[in-house]
Amino acid sequence: MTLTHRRRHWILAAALLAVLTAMVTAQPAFADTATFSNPSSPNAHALDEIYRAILGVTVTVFVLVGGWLVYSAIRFRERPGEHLPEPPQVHGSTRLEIGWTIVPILILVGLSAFTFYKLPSVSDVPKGAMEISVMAQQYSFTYTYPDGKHPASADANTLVVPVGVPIHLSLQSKDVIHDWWVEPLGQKTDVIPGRTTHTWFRADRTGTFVGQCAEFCGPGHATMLIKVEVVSKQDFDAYLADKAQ
Amino acid sequence: MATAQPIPASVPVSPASAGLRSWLVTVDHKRIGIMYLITTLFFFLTGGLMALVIRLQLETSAGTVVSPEQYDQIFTMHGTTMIFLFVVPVMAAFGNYFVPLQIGARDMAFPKLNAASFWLLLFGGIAMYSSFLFGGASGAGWTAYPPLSVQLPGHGVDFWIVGLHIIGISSILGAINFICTIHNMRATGMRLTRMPLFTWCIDFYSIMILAAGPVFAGALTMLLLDRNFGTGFYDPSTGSPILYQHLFWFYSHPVVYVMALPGFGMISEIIPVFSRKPLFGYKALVYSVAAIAFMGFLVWGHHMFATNFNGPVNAWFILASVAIAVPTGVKIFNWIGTMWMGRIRFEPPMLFAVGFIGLFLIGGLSGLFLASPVDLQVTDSYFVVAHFHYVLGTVPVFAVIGGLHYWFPKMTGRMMNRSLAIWSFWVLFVGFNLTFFPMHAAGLSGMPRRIASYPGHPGWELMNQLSTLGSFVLSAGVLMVVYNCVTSLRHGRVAGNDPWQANTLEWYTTSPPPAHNFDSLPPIRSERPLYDLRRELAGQPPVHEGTVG
Repeated sequence: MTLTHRRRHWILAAALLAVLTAMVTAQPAFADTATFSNPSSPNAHALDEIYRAILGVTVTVFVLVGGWLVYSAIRFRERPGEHLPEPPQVHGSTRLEIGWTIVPILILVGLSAFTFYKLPSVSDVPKGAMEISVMAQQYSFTYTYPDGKHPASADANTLVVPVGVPIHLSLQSKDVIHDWWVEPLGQKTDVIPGRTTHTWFRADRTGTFVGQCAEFCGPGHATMLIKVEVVSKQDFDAYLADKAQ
Repeated sequence: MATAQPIPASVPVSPASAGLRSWLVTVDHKRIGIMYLITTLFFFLTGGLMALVIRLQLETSAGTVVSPEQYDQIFTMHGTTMIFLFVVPVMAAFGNYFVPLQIGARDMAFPKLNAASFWLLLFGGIAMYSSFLFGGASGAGWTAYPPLSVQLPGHGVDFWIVGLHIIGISSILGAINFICTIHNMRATGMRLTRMPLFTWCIDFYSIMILAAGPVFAGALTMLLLDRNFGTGFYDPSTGSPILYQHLFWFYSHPVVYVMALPGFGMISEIIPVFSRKPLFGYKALVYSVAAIAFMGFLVWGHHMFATNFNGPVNAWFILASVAIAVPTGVKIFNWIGTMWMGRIRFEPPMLFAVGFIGLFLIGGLSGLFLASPVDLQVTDSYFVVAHFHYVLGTVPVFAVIGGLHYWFPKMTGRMMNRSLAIWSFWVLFVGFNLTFFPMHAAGLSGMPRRIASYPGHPGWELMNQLSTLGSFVLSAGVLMVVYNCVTSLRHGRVAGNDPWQANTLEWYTTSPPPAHNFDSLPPIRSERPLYDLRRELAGQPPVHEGTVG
């Protein structure tokens, strides 16, 4: 009896060790999957910071509470054939229960305070942003630049913007609800027929960013793509002068 | 004292009268419960099959298994079926069977109304599914946001609305019946403060359905009128598409708790029985259920953060959504507190219960991201799909299947095969995590939900293939449970009245119980009348409530 128990303990310990080793060695491969991919705008950075703060808290809570659960399940289990006396009939502990109500409240108050501290840098459109209006329809987004200029029809569904300049998007829809979402450039924004919604970003590097409609809008939903081309200031001026009309 | 009797010897009883007709006309709450159970499990398998089509479609980025139109219908009906035809009514199945037994009643307060609730559910489901015969089902998503749901051609959305109306009447009538039963039919001594947690949770489940259901019915009626009579309630020029979202989520967020609370109730029955201890903090658990039921009505806006709320509205929905984590946490702590220093027997129901706590913990914690502005990145992505399957998928797969293993002996008189049950738990556990955990990563890397293909993102294939593999493991686990149920009906070991040495009144009567439920009742002096009775029969002094450790 004791021998098999001891052997089972070894197997359990070896299995735990194997899982831990696998998790540690696999960590680099999964490091990117646990966070947002490549935030490239101040609002996306702020959301990433809130995300990481919550991730820290939730992983800690998960390890502690999950560990408590697994420990209790293993430590207090009745092994086959064992007949232990009845455990003490404890009905509760007011002090403990008040404690585990108040501690989560304190943690959540702290987390909410951090969230509200960061919130303006997500939602507030910076002053002096370049105004671009967006029209959504099944299944594309089209853009109108300041002074009513449109991009050339060849790439009508590509938004070309200068790097480092805050861009204020005013979004409207012709048909159903859509959602403008380019994850590296920040928050989703619903585009709702009959009203104008707003979002903004300020790309901190040049390059192509892709996103897609994030509110189900019909059978073509998966094909409603978004492409944002972030170029230098000079290239942008040239683009507007040459291609737009 | 005088009413304390030895527990009668176990007699394997087959249902008193057989034959199809006796089932069609029955008003016995136990038979209605079983019909609810079989019907909802059938819809569960149907919804599961549709989930497999979804997983096969997303296995490759090209998504060639079904057309986008078919895909939209399938995910719409998957969600609708799982929520309205499985998780919500399966709680009514167990509630029907066990609430009258747990409170020592002879039947539900209104037996005929109870039968009507069941038949309305069945016919509502059939009405909705008949849309496949008349040009296709709704492809508007289970949320059916206008203007899309108003503009979609065909009659799929109309069938969907009418089906939901019928199902809604079923659940509202059921809720009235549960509330009247629980508040009027309790046996002598069964005070509210001694009521089993499962019965408490069915009480709050019913109150929430009663408060929220009519709002949804109104929202759906306006949608039906907009579609067919041009009323324009949700038209941008004469009304507002956002109005629908408020009404929809005012109902559908509480429904999250309508589905979860009875699952919590099942866990709260199982944990103390298999830990050989009373519930740790019975009153705190009841209060936290009440708090969740109340606060559940104040947080709906967190489904709508991306619609550009103004500052104060935004702040309210963030704070209220974060706050609901507190009573949820309290429940988890009280469950583990019940296990602490216990003498835990890992029979199948307990395995499912512990698995539920662990997985629900993940779902609860990932909810914190969705209560915060991080939601603006992860809402409507696969992260949110992962989250709601960890909260609402764990309820049916672990709490309800745990409850099924716990109560199967009472309903049938026979035990389920223990080792097969343990194997099916582990297959479900592995399959569940393999299916839903990688979805967090898919969402974080930008994959929206409800897309039939993702040709531009071959990088998402690996995570999706893991999920697809997992979904087949999960299905194998479900089939193992079904096989175990079916074979145990005939070949299971005879259970006796009280195979688990449980605490609540349903275990006092025979398995299955006679039509009138009880010949007599033991005295009810605490929330564990059967535990008290066992002590009394063993000549031990009673344990008093309020023992603080």
